[in-house]
Amino acid sequence: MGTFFARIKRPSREGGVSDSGEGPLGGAMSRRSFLVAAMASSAAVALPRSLFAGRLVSEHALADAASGPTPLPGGPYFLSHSYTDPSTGNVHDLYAIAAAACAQIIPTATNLRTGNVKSPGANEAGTVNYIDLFMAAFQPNLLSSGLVSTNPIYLGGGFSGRYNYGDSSPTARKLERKGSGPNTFETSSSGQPETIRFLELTDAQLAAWYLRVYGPPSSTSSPPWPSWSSPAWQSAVASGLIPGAQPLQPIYEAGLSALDDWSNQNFSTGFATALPIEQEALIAQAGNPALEAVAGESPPQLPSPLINPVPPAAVATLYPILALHTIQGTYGLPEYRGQADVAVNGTGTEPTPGTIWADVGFDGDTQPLGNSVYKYDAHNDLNAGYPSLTYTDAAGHPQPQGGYSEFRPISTLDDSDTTLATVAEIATLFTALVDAGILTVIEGGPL
Amino acid sequence: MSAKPTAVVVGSGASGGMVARLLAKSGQYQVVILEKGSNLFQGLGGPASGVTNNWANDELAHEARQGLEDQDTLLEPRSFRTQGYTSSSSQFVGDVNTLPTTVGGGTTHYDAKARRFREVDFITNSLMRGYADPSDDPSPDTSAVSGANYANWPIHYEHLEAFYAASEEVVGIQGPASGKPGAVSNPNPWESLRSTPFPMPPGTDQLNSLLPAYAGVKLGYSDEPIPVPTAVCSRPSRDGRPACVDCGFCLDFGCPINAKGGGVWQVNDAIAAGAQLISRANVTGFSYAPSTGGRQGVNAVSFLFTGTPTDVVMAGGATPYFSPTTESSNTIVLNPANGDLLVLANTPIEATRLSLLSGITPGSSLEPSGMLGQNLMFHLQTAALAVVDRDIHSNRGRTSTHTIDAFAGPGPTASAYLAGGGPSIPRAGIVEMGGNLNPIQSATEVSEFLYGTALKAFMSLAPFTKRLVAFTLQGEDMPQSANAVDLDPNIVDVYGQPVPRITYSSHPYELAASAYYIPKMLELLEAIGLPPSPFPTVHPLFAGSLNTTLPALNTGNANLESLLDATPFNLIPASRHIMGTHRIALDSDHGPCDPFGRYWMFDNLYHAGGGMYVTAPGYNVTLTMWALSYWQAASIISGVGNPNASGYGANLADMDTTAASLRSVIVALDKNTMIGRYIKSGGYNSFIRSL
Repeated sequence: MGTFFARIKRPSREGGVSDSGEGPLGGAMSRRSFLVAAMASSAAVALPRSLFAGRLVSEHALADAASGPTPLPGGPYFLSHSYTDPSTGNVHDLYAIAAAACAQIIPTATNLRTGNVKSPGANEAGTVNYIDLFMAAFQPNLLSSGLVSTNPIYLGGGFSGRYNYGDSSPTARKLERKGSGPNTFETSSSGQPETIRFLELTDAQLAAWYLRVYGPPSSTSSPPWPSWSSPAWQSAVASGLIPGAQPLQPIYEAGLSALDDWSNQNFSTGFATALPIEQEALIAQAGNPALEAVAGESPPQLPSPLINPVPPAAVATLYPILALHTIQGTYGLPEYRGQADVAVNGTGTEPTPGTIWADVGFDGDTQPLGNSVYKYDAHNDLNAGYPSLTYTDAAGHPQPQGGYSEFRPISTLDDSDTTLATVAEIATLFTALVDAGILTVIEGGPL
Repeated sequence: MSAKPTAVVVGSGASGGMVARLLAKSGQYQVVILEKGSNLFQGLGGPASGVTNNWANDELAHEARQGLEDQDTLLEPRSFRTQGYTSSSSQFVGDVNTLPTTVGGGTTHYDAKARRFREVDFITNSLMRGYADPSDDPSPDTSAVSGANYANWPIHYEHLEAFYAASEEVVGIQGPASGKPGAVSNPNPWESLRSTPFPMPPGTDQLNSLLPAYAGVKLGYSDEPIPVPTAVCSRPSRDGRPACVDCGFCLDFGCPINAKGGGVWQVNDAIAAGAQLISRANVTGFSYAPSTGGRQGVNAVSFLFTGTPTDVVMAGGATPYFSPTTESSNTIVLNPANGDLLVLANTPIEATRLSLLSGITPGSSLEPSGMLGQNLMFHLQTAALAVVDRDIHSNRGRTSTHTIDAFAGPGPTASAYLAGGGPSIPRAGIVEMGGNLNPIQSATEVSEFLYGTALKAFMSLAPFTKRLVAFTLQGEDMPQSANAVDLDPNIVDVYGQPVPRITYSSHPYELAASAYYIPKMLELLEAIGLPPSPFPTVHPLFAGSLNTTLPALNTGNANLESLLDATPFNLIPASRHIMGTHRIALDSDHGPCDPFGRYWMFDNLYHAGGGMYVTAPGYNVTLTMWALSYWQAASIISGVGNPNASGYGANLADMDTTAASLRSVIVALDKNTMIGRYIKSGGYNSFIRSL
């Protein structure tokens, strides 16, 4: 097996951080955008000319717009169903457009590893509601709705109470939201959250996040710059000398509107009502200009070439943000999208097949005795001779004191996992990038 | 108003927490801790078992977004340039090795590896020049490395050993060395002798750390897998915090159950002993006036307070020593003649910045060495990784549970160094092994070129979440004068204060060391699953590493790309290991601070933290910061470090005797520890002689 040195483009991180690396790897791949390493010898694997060809044709049904997510109670708060674009006068259903776009980025489709043909995606997760809540973080209509305790930026700490481990009885399932400790993420007396607890922001955090959602204030903006902020700093932020103030709301409004108009231009119908294959074609063009260079032609499976394959500037600006938020909303804690742990993230002792985290083999948030990797076991050998006592901390959370054993394997292999990743599967994902010129592979190393 | 001298400690991380704890416990000082960031803990000052917090296993709050606990670089940016860049405008503005700004500092969300330096690491300059005993070195000021300010430390391992031991017990560190004081069995052949075992045994092995550890055995780096010492409870701690549950959200995440050891628990001890914590207190400067012996005395420290009453914490609801107001700048008056003092424990970069803002100019009569802010060192972190064919659930467990120390260079003793090849073997550092990306980060990494069914296929394979083995080689940086912190001439923060400007370029030494060890790291990754591994069914699919000579990435920003071309691995420094700005030395010509961290030309001004480092051995910085902070506090409490005391000069000249005096503080303040009892029994004297 050869080893290679490789370098690849890296996306920026939410919050205005540049492409610089951040955070030590420290034995862990943290926030730092690492530069992806090698792949095995591509000569050993027969691959299609371009992976992108496969991406443009989904052989499995994609969720259509009619089965898309619905707004949260009282919503949508930002993604209006009838937004009028001031530059064109056209009216757009931003919610439906965003939902459809999210569903293209993370679709409902077959999980090639598990075979689940209805592997959940952004539609099931309700990812569009994540974007809606985030963009409405400072809007009075959301803050007075009772859905959130305060600006939905940082979820309050503690535990979700998910998955009362080790007990799949109906009683335990009813108690699943409480787990073995209180659910501090939200208040609820039924299956859906009543109020999601977010952390109160400091004045400084409010100022920073406001800038990230609305961009720098203009001379007529309300609210203006914080009164306690330095004018020199204000100028630096407004000019971009200090990066990070990104007007996300205008970017979403303009970008989704332009996406809708672009769809009309190409398919004589808006984006949300276009065929899934048409939606995918536009998303492919929006986010991957290199794709066109590889294919040298319009995406296949369409009856005719795109009338206008070039994404509008507003769409090109929106796409990386939309992709990032789609990922965040789908794979992050469900409370950020206004969901409790039910349905999408399973019930009982483990995330059930078909749920988002189960789909990617992830445990999700863990806590003592809830969705935990440990269980009490007075007779185990992990803490031989250690008393199997527990205590309850000041917040009412049971804390393990020892006498526990691995409920999910940490130090051993999971014998139930017989799925082997192969060179071909992973190499497939990377070879096409080489073809597209995105990945540069330099053969090296002494092995 | 307290009758006791006042000690103001700026910063509540590892260093500030330890200094505050000891000064408060001594009963000699009224301690006020000023922390710029928020307090995400509730109930500090009482039993640790009763403290709650706002941490959660939340990838959005701590990794994907601007971190809840992190310095917000939109409000408080830094600027960066490489050496030789002469324009007044910086090449980059944003996050340059910022650290968390919160009560507990970086130790709230680190992954808590807690490593000692070795004997050789304090005297490497002489060793590299062929002298096993630095006292035989005729030119100790001569740098062994051309183009660097390489030097010996003014204190050695034997001086600091007891303080390492005390810190390990106070903080609560798990590790493999076992036995009893004076009879310790350590499976790690690369570590120096220890007087005491770890207070806790190693926790559960993490498979993606254990697998390469066995590869290390295969390749002869150790006889068995070596657990890495970590400040995470594997048993309930002495202050009542629970054992870790290996939830997998470690690096970058605060611990919801308080199993992670860190500065906040020393702050907790300090508050319990009468200290006051004020969070959301942004120190803007300090003033001083001529004092004694031609030195200055700090007489006031000013700060902005943006908090609420919950940000003012005294144990048991006691009346605060100082009540801040949000209406105007707050000033704590200090009287040097009364013994009042100021400790800057707010990280090397911010301590430098605050000193510069307060009018201390390097090279002036206030700082004759000219080195304040210079010799800035990070660790050159070389990464390598492999993806294996089995699900090894890399997302579970602590970030890293095992280590390979062989790439730190020969040692741990001087004789072993010289016998092991000496300077012909590059010094890099430890190899941290383990790692994973959580789902948002995994998907984000590939989102620019994967979406739709391809993205889902990638995520279901989960190569970076479930099948990853990642290495980070902590590479020793060379200290260079040109690597420095000063004030940016053009950019201010949201409060109107000039931001720190970091000038930094790697030295050829560490770049060469990185290139030297990359093939060895790849060899380790390739050996995963080979005998004697107990997991022979796990095989690496591929392995790779970063290469220092590759061109910058295509970011679409030509200016940024030009800058990245000039930096190793094409990255703005982001190691989060920061050292060197306040080099300790035996006289004021060789560093800004004395061996106890006191600014030479000030009676009562100290820096506590990584800035004290003379060199940057390739080990995690925090435990040595703790040990040096304990050392510093002991010098204050005992009076050994008092520059006005008649014996001060002699104390510097005879560091062995000085260290023995300082160890008495351990006995006084931490008597119920293994090391405290060992020192008191006299047994420690025998141990010292064995070093």
